[in-house]
Amino acid sequence: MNTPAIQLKNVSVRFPIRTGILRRVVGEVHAVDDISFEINEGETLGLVGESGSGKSTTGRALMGLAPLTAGSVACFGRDLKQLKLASGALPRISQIVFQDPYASLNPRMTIGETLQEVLEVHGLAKGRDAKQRVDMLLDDVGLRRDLAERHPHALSGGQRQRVAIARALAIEPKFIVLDEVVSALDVSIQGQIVNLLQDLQRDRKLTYLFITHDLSIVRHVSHSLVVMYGGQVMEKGPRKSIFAAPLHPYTSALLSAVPVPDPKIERMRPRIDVRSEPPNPLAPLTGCRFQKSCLFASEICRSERPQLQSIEGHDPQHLAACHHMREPRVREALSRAARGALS
Amino acid sequence: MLSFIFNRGLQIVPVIIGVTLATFLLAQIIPGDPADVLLGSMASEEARQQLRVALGLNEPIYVQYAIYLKNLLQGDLGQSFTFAQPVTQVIVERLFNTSLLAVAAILLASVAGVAAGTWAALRPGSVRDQGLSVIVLFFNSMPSFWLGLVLILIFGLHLRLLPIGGMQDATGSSGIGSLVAHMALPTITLAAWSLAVIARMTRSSILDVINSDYIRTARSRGVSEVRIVLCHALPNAMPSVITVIGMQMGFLLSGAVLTETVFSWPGIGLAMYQAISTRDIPLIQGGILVLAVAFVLINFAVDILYAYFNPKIKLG
Amino acid sequence: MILAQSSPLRPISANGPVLELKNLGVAYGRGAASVQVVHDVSLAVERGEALGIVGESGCGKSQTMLAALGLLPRGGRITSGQVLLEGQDLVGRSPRQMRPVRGREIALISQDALTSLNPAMTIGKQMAEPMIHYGGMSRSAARQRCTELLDLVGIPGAAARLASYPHELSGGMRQRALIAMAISANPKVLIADEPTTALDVTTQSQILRLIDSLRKELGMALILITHDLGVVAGVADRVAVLYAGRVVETAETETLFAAPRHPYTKALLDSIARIEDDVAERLNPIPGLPPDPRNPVSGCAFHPRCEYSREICRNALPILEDGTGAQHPVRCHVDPFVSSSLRAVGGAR
Repeated sequence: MNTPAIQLKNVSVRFPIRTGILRRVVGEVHAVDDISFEINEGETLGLVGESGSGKSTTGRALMGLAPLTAGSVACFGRDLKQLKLASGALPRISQIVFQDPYASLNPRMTIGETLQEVLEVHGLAKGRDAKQRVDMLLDDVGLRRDLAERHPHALSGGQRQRVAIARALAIEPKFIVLDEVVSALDVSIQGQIVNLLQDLQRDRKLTYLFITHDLSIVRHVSHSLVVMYGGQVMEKGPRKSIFAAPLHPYTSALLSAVPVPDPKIERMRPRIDVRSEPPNPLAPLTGCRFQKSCLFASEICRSERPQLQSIEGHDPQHLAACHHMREPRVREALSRAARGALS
Repeated sequence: MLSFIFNRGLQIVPVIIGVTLATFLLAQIIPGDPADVLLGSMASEEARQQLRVALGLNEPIYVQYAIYLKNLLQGDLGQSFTFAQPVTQVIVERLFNTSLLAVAAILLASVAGVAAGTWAALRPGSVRDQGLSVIVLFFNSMPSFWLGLVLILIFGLHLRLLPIGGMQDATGSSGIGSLVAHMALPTITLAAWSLAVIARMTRSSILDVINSDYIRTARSRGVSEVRIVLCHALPNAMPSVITVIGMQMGFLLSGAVLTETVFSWPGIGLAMYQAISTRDIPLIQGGILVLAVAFVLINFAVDILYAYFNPKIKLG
Repeated sequence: MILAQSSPLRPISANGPVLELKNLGVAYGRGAASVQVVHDVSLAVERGEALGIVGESGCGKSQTMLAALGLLPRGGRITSGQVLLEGQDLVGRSPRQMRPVRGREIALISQDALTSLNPAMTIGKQMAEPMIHYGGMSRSAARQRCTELLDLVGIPGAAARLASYPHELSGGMRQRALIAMAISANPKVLIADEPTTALDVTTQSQILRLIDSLRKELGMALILITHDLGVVAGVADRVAVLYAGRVVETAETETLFAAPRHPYTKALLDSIARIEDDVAERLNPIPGLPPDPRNPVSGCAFHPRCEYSREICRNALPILEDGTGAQHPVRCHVDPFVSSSLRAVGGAR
């Protein structure tokens, strides 16, 4: 086995909460709590969860933008902490693209200037050379070269997202964190960006962490999947196995929430509902984080944190953390909901 | 909220120390020997030396600062030789008069400014809106002493409606009416510039928030346009307006020096003007110190008001 | 050559539509700088019916509905047509005359609940405002009603939430509060403009089902505006597809999904990432961009992105016509997906 490109081991991220006159630390936000996963080189891992699940914090932690409270991250065999110390080393390996490129593009700079600046800051190209590289970058992301003269406000949402991708590519990273990159786009345009990312991955052997709340997109892009809730991993494994038969009630709920563009199915299908109670990161629950929203929760879910385990008859790499996932009634309900979603 | 006030209050301390240091150093860098000023150039070297020792001028500079601070804490700002009184006494007597003028001016500027700005924002682009722009431009481009003189000319000399200078105590024979009459022109003069700035700020912040989604929500629920502006747009526009009002209060204090001089209003400003022309350094120092501290405290108050209007800040 | 003339959509039931737009046009600016964002849109919604309006950003779907409410932003104006509320034309009414309509007859839910709620007012205060000032309710009665409404939309601890500021609620709760405000005066028509776009998937589906159940419970007509055909599938009775400010196709929801006639509708359907597909590696986005209303496209606005376009598509604007007589009008010269039998019924082509 090759060593994976990205490897997280027991990573936790906590932010102290200070308050009062003396700015005492009164508590912690448990943003990410003891998660582990790996991404193979040239593959995409879909990191799925709702707001507050810790998925974006995980992405930032991988970029060195959020401090690790515990655990370790290895990027292409090198420790993240060492990479952070060596100036410029981390950006050369990994880049991040956000949901709203408008907020991360300087409105006073043209697209060309923005891209050229990145090249110059990292000492990759200068002057005329940089201009040529900018043209090539625009070609790479499928934008017309004359857009280099425009300002961000003159571009559409999809074009701006292409610019953000070009800016990440400029440094020729091996790994890109894609944080909800298509969520703000029209459905009709989302596919353009997803296809572009897949072409780039194939041509350059890029490794992606694709963060999203939308399972339907993840299905198209990712080789493996991690489902997070309340800062913890609920389920992870190869995409095929998870979509064939989700083991965790939360994954199932996510699946049944995706609208199916067929009125007959959409109106009839059984659903697994999530009770509307987002997890409170200030006071994490003992036991299973999903207990309050789960239809199957029982005494043991409140007292004991379930461990990630595989289940017989499934891919051994497919793990889920649920006390009840082996029970026939749960399996039955989940598979019915999954069949409804997947018709 | 309390902890917000406390934390913000803590930040004042270093600022005030900085102010005392600045006023202290001011005396050091002003050319000329205080002994010369006090005794005149004809005094003997011996007398000067004695005075220097008495004033502590021969001590090292940090010792002088320590003495200055110690005196300051005891309320002793030194002796004003123009007024032949302790500086503290000169300032305390006049502080009330200046505050009276400044408070009246800021009230006038805020109330009239917010009202005018809101009124204009109700109908952007209308005749009233454009009229306001012209008035704002007029007030903003006119020096206050000149406006004061023009007002004296029109209301005092031509129309003979209002007294042109001085101040009458409210407890005096003619009572509060006379005080108001004497205050009218200086208050208007002092307020004019700030009024214009506040009106312009109110108008533009209301127009900024009027395009917000929540204004559309309120409209979509049948809320009247007047309520929209007064109850939805104005409260959300207030934080930026309050910031401007706070800044204007600082300008008002400095503007008071000129206005008081034009109208012979017996406040700190007039005293400072006299102190500057006679190089009465202790009084200049004292005046600047008091104005600077007032400025800091006003900003403190503005921050608290700002937090009051913006519920999100209270959390921090 | 412009063949602009829309065929009226016949109401399904006899008692007439509660809200009907007839040949509505919306433009921004004046004179040479004028930009037409909505052209000749005719739509109707029955009492209690759910109508989906689908199209990409900038297609004019929100502008159409804001125009109907008289809430166009500064610079926007209605250039033609009528907005009929139970037969009464709302176009040309003064803001004062429009006020009783807003909230009580037609209510609006916007996309982003955080920006759509006043950040400096508690939920209770903004909810109660029209009740107290225009509904003649006492403060305590309004408070009671607000609590009931928050309860109805599934906000736990409703009474306590009245004192919360919007930023103190989660995204899903804010959207629920916004819905509660919209239905507070029992409107006849509820316009929901991308009500779920800013939310998580699980919250999305809950909010959609909430809106739908409220519609049924309160007998409101619902106009659901979205760029995602998947969203209308479960809710809408009929769907109108808008492109470049024009209705290009209208049909009952099942018909539209089963047999779309306009290439744009077909492309929109194909672009959805289908969760039920087995590992389809590539998505099928619509190539290119929606047209900029400042540079209108000649002929059929969709022709640059359309794989079926012919010469005529570049030159002539197609008419919205119901050639088949099946309550399924489409604005397309080519109409490539209509089956030959239907074509025979339509005859005229």
